[in-house]
Amino acid sequence: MDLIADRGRRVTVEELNTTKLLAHAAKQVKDRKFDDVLIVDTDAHHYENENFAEILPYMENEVLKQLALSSRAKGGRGNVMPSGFGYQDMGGRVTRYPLRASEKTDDKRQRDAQLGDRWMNAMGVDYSCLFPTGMLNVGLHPQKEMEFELCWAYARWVTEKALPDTNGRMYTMLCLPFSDPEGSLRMVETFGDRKGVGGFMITSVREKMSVSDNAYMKVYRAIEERGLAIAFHSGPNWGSNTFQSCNRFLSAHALGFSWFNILHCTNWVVNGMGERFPKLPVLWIEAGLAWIPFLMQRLDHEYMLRPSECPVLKKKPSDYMRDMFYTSQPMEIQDMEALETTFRMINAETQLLYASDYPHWDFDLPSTIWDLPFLTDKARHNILGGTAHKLFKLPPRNEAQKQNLVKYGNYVGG
Amino acid sequence: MAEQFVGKASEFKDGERQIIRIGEDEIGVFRHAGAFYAYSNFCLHQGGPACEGLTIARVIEPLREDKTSMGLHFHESDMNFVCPWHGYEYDMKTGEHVADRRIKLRKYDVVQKGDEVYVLA
Amino acid sequence: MSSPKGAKAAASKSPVSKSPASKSPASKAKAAPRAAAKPAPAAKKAAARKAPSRAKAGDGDPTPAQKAAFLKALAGGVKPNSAALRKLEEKKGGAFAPSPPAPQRKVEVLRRIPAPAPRLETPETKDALRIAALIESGLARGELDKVQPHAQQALAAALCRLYAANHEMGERYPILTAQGAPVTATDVMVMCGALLKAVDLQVFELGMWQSWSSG
Ligand code: FES
Repeated sequence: MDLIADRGRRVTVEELNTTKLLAHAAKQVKDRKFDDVLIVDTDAHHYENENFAEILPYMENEVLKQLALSSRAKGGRGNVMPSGFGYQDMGGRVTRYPLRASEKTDDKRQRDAQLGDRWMNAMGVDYSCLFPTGMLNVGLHPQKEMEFELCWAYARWVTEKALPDTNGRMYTMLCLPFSDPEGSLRMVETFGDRKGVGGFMITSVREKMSVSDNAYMKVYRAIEERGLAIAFHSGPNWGSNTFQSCNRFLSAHALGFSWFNILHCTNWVVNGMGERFPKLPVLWIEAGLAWIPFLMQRLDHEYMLRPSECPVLKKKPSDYMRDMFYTSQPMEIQDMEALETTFRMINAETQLLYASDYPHWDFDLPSTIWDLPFLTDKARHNILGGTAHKLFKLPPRNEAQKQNLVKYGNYVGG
Repeated sequence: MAEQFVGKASEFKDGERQIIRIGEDEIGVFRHAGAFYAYSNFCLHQGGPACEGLTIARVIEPLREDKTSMGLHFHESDMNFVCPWHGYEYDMKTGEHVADRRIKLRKYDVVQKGDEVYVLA
Repeated sequence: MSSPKGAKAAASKSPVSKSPASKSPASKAKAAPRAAAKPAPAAKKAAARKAPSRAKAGDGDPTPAQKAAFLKALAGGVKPNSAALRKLEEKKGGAFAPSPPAPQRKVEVLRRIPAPAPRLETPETKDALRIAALIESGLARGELDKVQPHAQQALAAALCRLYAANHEMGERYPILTAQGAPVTATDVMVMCGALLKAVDLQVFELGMWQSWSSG
């Protein structure tokens, strides 16, 4: 296939075959004997818009459903999902974007499940937490009714159609219609006990959201009671007022992912949510790691001067932050000492979860964790899968994995 | 170090490339603007297939005397090849990462004998 | 059996083959922190290359186990750094470890990624080019009414659909040649405006559609 490079020049590249594209990852799996290590990828994606034809019919409200369906009909011009600006594909340099449609699958199983098998096998990943892509912007939808309908339809489709096709290799944390606290609660009550649901996710890309509003306490309580986790999945929003002065996608992307999690994490911590829901595991996803030491220092500093503003807290903000979980990708491996300090500050050995973010452009392989020179074996195993095994009760897939879980004190059965 | 036969120059068109394996090594052999270049196909970032992605001209942003920007442009001749995994861009002529020249793919010499192309590996 | 010279070379290599790959991870990190996540260090590969698989021993040769036992017994009474030990080292190579001829490593072509295909001149292409030339020459003569509006509509519609269908299939190419057909920016704006108007689209809708997918 030809891709367009500079000045309309055409460049031939092979059509996409994920297994071939990731052949070097498979070599890493072999060299490092990853088959013996339970590896859980806590953040992977698919392009749910490719499945809208199947998803949208699950919408409940007939009028909104008709609006959404007709927008997709030929000649229709509606736009159901808010979308952002950006060049994730780097002008085709990251070839799996433009070539995506060229990859062949059969019609025996869900296409996303087949693609999932290919990249999980190549990377040595045993389980993936599947998240949507475009839907990460659902919090920008001006209609909370539509936000609910889309989240609801997706939740039904993913738990009834997509996940059952993955032979148990994929699970999910379902996207909550957070603008609608009642709707969010209904989602937790309806889907919380379904197979493959490890928890619920709030899309961080929201311009106005108060995670500490009283209206949400029943939602958090319902998740905590079920022994599930809650996650904040970040993203960029170049169109937001904050980032309008960024003239390069790089700037809006680098800042945006960190920013939206910094924002909500601050509100979460300062309002003592960790004190209120001590058993609720909280995950911060896809913001990298560099922001965490920054925020810990910043919040501790202010807290010491203004404790009267957060009387619910019984310890420093950074202590609450150390109780929470962070996914590793996109890990800033630039200054090894800084990274080591970050790992120490967040108690990475028990709080860090490996994530690939595949197939997005800045995905990380398991070797990014495995090859870190300062990690103990226990930390390696915990971060790659041991901690996630405990959180999400994912059974080891072979005896060697089980032995390793036992060896490092992570095994909780399955 | 031995000469490894890659193919016939006459069958190796400009703009074409071959990914070859010699033992444990994978090497990308490019023919660009008449010349042959060969580099390790293992990207220095996370080990991706560095030589199998897009080739694209280097992007430049010329500044005027008064330091104002003339905007983004493609360079007239400098060509990069891009690792398809995450976009590391390597200079076609040197194998150096364009953002940090210290990051450099292993370069293999290519010799042409008559119509035959060899890589020294 | 190889010549004694070759045997010596092999002997001097094998006993001290301290692999450069055994460098501690920590020292690797100090030396190149930026590249710490990089897999399969080149050193390892180099080491692998240095140890070509030995040629199979001939029928009459002792088995590897016999060789090992013999050498062990011999080495038992030899002092380090002695002439006797050096002799022994020589022997290890000479009598028992014939080195194969310099290996001719196999070159395997994994992929051949061709240069972009040259232009194909199908009959349909030729016809379409003829019509384009016809229109251009009419334009050059200032004859604007030779191709009547209904024919222009048919051409615009067909081309629009053909281009979009190719685009949909992942066949992406510029709609105008790089050298730029003699089309001006104004021409483009007029034509695009007319196309948008024809399907009742606003410019902002085009913008929204173009930024449809993120991720
Ligand atoms: S592996 Fe090549 S850019 Fe990441």
